[in-house]
Amino acid sequence: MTRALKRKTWIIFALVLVVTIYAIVPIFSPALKQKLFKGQDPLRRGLDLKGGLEVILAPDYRVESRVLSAIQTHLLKEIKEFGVEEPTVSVLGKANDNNRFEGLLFQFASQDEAERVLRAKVIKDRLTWRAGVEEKNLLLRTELSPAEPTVLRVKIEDDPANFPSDALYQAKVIIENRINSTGLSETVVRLDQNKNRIEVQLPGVKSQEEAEKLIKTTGRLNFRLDDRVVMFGTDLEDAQAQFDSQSGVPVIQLRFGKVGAKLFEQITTEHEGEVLAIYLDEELLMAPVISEPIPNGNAQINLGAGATLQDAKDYAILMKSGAFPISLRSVLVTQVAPTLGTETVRLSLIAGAIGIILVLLFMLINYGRMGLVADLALLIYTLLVIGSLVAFRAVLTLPGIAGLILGIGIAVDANVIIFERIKDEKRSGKVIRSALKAGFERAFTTIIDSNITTLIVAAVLSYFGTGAVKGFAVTLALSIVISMFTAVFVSRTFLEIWINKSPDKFLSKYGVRG
Amino acid sequence: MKLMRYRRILFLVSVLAMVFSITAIALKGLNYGIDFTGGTNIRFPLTEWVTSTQVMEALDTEEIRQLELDFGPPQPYNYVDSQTGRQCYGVLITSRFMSEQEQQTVISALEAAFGVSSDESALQINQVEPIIGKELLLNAFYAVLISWALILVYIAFRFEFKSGVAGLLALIHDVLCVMGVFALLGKQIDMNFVAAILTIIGYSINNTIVIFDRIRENLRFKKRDESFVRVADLSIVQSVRRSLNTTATTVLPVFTLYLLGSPTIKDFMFALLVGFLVGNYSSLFMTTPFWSFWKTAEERKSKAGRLATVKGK
Repeated sequence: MTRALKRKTWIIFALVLVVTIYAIVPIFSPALKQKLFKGQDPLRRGLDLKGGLEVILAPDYRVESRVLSAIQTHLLKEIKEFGVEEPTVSVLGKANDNNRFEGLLFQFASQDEAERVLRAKVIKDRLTWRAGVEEKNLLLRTELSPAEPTVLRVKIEDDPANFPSDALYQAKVIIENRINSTGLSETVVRLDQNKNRIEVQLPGVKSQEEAEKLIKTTGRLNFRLDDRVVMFGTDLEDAQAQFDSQSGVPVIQLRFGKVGAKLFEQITTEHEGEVLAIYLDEELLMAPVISEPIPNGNAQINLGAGATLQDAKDYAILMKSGAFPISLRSVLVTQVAPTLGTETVRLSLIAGAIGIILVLLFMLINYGRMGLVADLALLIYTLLVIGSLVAFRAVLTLPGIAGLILGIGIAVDANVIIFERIKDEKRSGKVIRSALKAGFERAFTTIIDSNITTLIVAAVLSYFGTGAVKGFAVTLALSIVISMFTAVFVSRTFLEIWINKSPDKFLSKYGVRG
Repeated sequence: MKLMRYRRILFLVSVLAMVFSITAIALKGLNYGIDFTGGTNIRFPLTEWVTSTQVMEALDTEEIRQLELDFGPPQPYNYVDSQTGRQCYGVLITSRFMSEQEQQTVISALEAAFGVSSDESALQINQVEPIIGKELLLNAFYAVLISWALILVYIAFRFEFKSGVAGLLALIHDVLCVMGVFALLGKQIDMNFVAAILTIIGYSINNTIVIFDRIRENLRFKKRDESFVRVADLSIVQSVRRSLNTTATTVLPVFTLYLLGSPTIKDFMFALLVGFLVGNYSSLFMTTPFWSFWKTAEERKSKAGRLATVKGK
């Protein structure tokens, strides 16, 4: 063996050894798994292969029915002053999960009246709504309903400027904290700044209820006197469930921040003996009576007879988590049953193994000794792909498996191209050594050109794709690069070793096959 | 082998396949999943097989009618749980985007009609807001268009513009054929389908380039009076073995997954199978004839030009 060839063999050997220890051994050795991956699976699986729940949340800018009715009264007055017959009003669309609505529908007596109201801009683009401490700017979009020209459709939304600019980031942190306290592993909470969305992945979560508790109680906590909001949950720093040290009954301990404490003192002093209702968005949580003025921002809610500590805990979690600075709605929910996920993996593994064995046999039968080299290269390819997926912490999804299958095809293909080339060169009368050299050189441009176009597809996808498609693009790109390496470097080294050792044998075998 | 003698027929087959696919898509329409249309999917577990009509009847209550949920036809399904070996049943219900309360109403109606399932985790609810669905579809569409444009540029740069157009035509052919088959069978188009289409594009272009590469090389050594058609013929013969071998090695794992897979995998692998087969056909028998029509026209033109010069003298 020449020096260069020896060095190449060592490189391949070292690479295989490192990848095996890093990516393959931990699957069978829990101790190493703990050391290298903190006990997690070396190969991360997407939700579709693992089961679980994915939710994408977006700010809910729709408006509550109490705001809607105030706006309705206001707009009807304006329309009356403008001098057309009073229209019939109905709510646009249906209530969503946060009990909020899209807007209003105004049915006029005639199309002419509707158009006049629209043209004169009787319904303004912006309105400010006030009640109690609440004040918000609303954006209105008015248009003629395409189906019924006598109807004006008014879409009403909260002005995003009503909320702090980092409201979504705060919400993300809150969700993260809530999920972390449950001890679920490999969860993902990601904020997409451009699209204003929060993506939450909860692998292993079996039921929707379980997940709902964690993320779907996304409403905004508010305190109300006489159905008017007097204070928001943003001022609430902590809510804890505990047993009262004197009476021994479960209570909820609340702690307010500086501003909140002051406001709370004012409210409790002025309204002693009244009911201070606690709402999560539009949903009543509880309605405790103010028994005394509370000065220092530390309040205690007594749940009364029959309540357990668990009840208090549930309420405390809701109140704490309810302290979102903004209401969220889920725009996408994907649920995969855990059994279906593991089933998919098991089947894919079996099928993948059968597929690879068939491919190995196929190459052996078709190309004899060269096929054996290709098989060895293919095994190294499979090992390296798994290793690189582990090293990059890439997530394997169902489309990702397709990417791997395509990768196997491409890897074998590179070998097929090279071998066919070597045969051609041999047929044209070259000796085996130069046939090998020429074959590899000629096949190289083919392999580069065909793989770069596929890489282009993978690159575009990883840029544009979301979720599963992105996973596919990453696996495909890795497969292509590694397949080129194994074909051009590994296969070639092995073939050269073989020819160096016994050129005659190689020739004779080849001669029979050619 | 003189395959190129039949190039018109070979090309016609591809054109017919495209026409056929477009007709199927136009007549039967594509069955978009909620990934793209937006809406709610409920997979409700059942203890025994029920018919679509039975489910519709169960959902035909006054309360549900008032919600105007826009139900699609309910799709009963069954599968074998690999862990317990039990036969499982269920029904897939598709509707517009539901609120949680509306979901509860529907689930209660189903439970009243068919009983409560013991396997709680088998109840699955998937939801996509219409805006997101539109965005996902557009994203997928842009991704395909941009990758096509870049492929065209790359092939035009490495080979020539005509071959780039031929390669692109093959990709359009492959995508149309797979979509046509899915339209014909009424199978659902979802995010996994998009991934399958993209895999097919990657495979088909890879295949096409290998043949083009042969043609490019053979053109370099061609004799002066040798026509493009003869060179193309030789190139196809040279690469047919490689093409068939490669197809066999790619189709083998896909086919095993198709045979063994659960319903989701099955549809995915089915798309890949159809795509790989039509992709192979188009790479071998559509792109080269197309390129050669163009090239032959060019050769004739230049011959005519030469004659004109002779006359002029």
